[in-house]
Amino acid sequence: MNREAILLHLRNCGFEANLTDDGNKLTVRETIGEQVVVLRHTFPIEMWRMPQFSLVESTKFGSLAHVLPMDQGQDGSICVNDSDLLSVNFAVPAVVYEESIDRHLALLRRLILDPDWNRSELIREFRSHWDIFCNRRGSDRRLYFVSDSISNSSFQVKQPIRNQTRGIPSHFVGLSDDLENRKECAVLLRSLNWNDRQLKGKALVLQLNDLEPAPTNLESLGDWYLRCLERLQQKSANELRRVKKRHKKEYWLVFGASNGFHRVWFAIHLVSQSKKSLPTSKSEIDGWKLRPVPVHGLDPDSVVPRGGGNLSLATKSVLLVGCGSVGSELAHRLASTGLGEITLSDPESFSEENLYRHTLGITDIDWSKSLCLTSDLQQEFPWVVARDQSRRLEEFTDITELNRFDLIIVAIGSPTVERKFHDFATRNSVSTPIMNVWLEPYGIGGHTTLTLPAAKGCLLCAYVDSVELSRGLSSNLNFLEPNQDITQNRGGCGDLFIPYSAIASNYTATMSADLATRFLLGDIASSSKVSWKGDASTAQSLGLKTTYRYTNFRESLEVLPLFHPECDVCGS
Amino acid sequence: MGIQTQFNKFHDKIKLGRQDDTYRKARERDDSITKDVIAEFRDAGYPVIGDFIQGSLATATAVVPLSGDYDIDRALVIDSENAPSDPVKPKITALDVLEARRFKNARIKMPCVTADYAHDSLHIDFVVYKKEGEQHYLAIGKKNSDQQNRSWSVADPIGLMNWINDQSSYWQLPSKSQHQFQRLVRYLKRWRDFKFSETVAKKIYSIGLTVMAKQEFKPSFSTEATPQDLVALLNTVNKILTVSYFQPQYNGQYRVRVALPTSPWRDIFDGSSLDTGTQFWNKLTTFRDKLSEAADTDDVIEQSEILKKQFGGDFEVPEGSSGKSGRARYATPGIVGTTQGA
Repeated sequence: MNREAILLHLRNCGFEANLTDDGNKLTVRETIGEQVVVLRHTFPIEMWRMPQFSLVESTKFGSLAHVLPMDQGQDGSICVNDSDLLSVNFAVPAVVYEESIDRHLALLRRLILDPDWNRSELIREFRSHWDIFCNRRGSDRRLYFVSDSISNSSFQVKQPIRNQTRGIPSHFVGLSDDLENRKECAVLLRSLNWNDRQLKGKALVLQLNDLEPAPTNLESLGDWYLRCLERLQQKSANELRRVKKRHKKEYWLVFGASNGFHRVWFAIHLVSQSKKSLPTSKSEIDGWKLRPVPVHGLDPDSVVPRGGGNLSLATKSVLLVGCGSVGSELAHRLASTGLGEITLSDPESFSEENLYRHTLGITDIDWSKSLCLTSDLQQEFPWVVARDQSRRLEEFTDITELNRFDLIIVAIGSPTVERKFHDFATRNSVSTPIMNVWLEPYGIGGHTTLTLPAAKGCLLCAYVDSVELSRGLSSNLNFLEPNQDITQNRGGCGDLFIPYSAIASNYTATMSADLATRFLLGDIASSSKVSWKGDASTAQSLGLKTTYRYTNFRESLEVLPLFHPECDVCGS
Repeated sequence: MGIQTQFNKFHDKIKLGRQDDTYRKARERDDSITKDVIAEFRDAGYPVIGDFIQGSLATATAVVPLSGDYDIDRALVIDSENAPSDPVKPKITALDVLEARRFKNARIKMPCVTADYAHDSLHIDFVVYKKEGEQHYLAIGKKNSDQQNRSWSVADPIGLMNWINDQSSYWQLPSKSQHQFQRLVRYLKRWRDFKFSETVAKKIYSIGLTVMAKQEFKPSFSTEATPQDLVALLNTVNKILTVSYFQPQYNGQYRVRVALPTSPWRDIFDGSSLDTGTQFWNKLTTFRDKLSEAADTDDVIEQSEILKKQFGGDFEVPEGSSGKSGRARYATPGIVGTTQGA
């Protein structure tokens, strides 16, 4: 980068720009309102992203949103945009610098000249500022807390595990009382090493009517804390008065408030040499050491939406029959959506043949697939209630049981059993929608049907024979012609398998999970089908014949009506 | 069930094959008469070196006639070396056989010998060719034609049948497409027989409909390869109307011209009247509009009612308010290997 050329360009643009004597730093001086701001930038060796500037002596402007004080000195790092979201024209660096300075100054101008907006932005990014504040105070131990409701007024806090410096064991954990004995939380508690930790105390959860920007210096923390108490919601204020009557050496106060977008949490740990009542006024605060603590929620509200899940799925229940390659991937995808309950059923044990196309691992060999998968799901997705069964599809004959689910997903790859189960469900008026999922070999594609009992379109629509217009035996969605030998056999009759990769099962599972989620959210209200179409070259090189549908299919991943006008069940 | 099921039922009712029971008497008469004619030709010194069925029975486009009169289209081929120079001579030989067999109205027309067998509602057309190398020549001339109107005229009956049966122009599903084409020709023929007076219907030649349908055929299948005959018929008829078969004349009249796609490339409708061309255009336009109306509705009963008015009572309207048949239709194979896994 030619720094002189950049400087010249900036000056030609009217900026009061200068290089330091060693030429390594660039400063830009600008007047905003009645204040002079100086931006400083250290040249990188190569331009990999938009040049970042810091605000010199940032503290003299008070708290500014998007300006984070740095450790050394008083300069503040300015957060203009997520630099990874910007595509930079690195071939013309001078123009990039000009654009970057414009963006920095525009932000500062608005922050300085519009104090209301600055304050609202400070509140919006409260958590970042609080975490930085804690970090500067040396409070790097977080409090991870688990609660299934924000209405809980207290929970237990346990100590970090001794000598642990990384991961959740090195932090405090908190758990609302009602969760400790709940069966479905057993895996979660194990993950948090709950039983191996020492009790630290009881935390009082206090809800604030509103937030004020996070404090910036330690000296002001006491006053800031007292101002928080003035903002308590009535119920929390009452609770505080009740707690205040007890004299203790330490208190854990966990505050919750909305920043206008979502709920944020922070904690203050108060410690005193002697037992005292909780300080609630300036005169009472002497003798107490206040320590700010970052709080990270593990409750559904905190983790599910941030991870792309949907809280409204928490009330939904799905039965997934078949925990093979597709089923295991599908179970993970479904659980990741924020689904409330999933029942997994498969009579088979996991074996090494499927290690490379299954989510289970080597320690699961010879164990029940559904059992291991259930355990994995609960480990990974703490708020899904996963249950395991070892029944085959044809063994689900209790209509009342079937009707309890919001969706039944069949991923067994057996058209005969699937069609027979469809007949059974139709005959017995099973009211739960049924989804059938399968893939075809050599990465040529995969398919999903969704049958809604009261709607046009059923599994048999996907089996109408195109010549006889009768109930066919092979799905008309398939991309490979029927009656071709597609199985491989390496170890005798018991070792027949259909060759496809984990990528193919992954595609199929993801596509199916998407359809299931959209249905459960109410976005899809009609019987539907969806397919993904892959490359046919491997299948064709082996002499396999593709179908007319394969050649003409252009709607990969598009949800299409399942209804076939010639289906003798659905009529017209 | 959908409209394709109704089309399939309709097709099952109107299709006519040489081996069908309904054609049994005609087939027996044909075999018997052909045997006699071949014997007479042999005795007359021009032995038959080949015979074949021509027309719609050879191209799987024959329909059960509404009139109840079945056609026999039989071609006899004699070797060029033995063929008499007068093309009418073997036709007279054939006429003698027909008269001896008590056929009514036996007579020699320009291209053939024709007769009716009233008792069995049969109509027979014998055509005579001589063959030189691979080239066929059609015996042209009537009993009393002068020399100028008698000739062995270049013809290509095999080429015409091959052209109609050719599947090479279909880039996908060739066999299924040809079957759809054959069904479409049968629909068109039944529509003609139902919609035109018997006199006019006879002038809308089957070979004319077949050639137009073949040249403008637009196959239609769903993505799952289910035939869509209604769409195919609509698109094909629409194309027939928009290319140059119908030439506008004065006073809103039309002349129809369709060239044979093989030798001798003549106009099939040569000599056809303006009245025939105009009726043909008008009724075909209405037919296209009705097909379009049927295609625009999703209700199979409504569709069937529209189509019944175009094809007659053999096109069934399903019972019930939603068109459900209530009867399961099962596949015929017991077991099929599939490519499905999970």
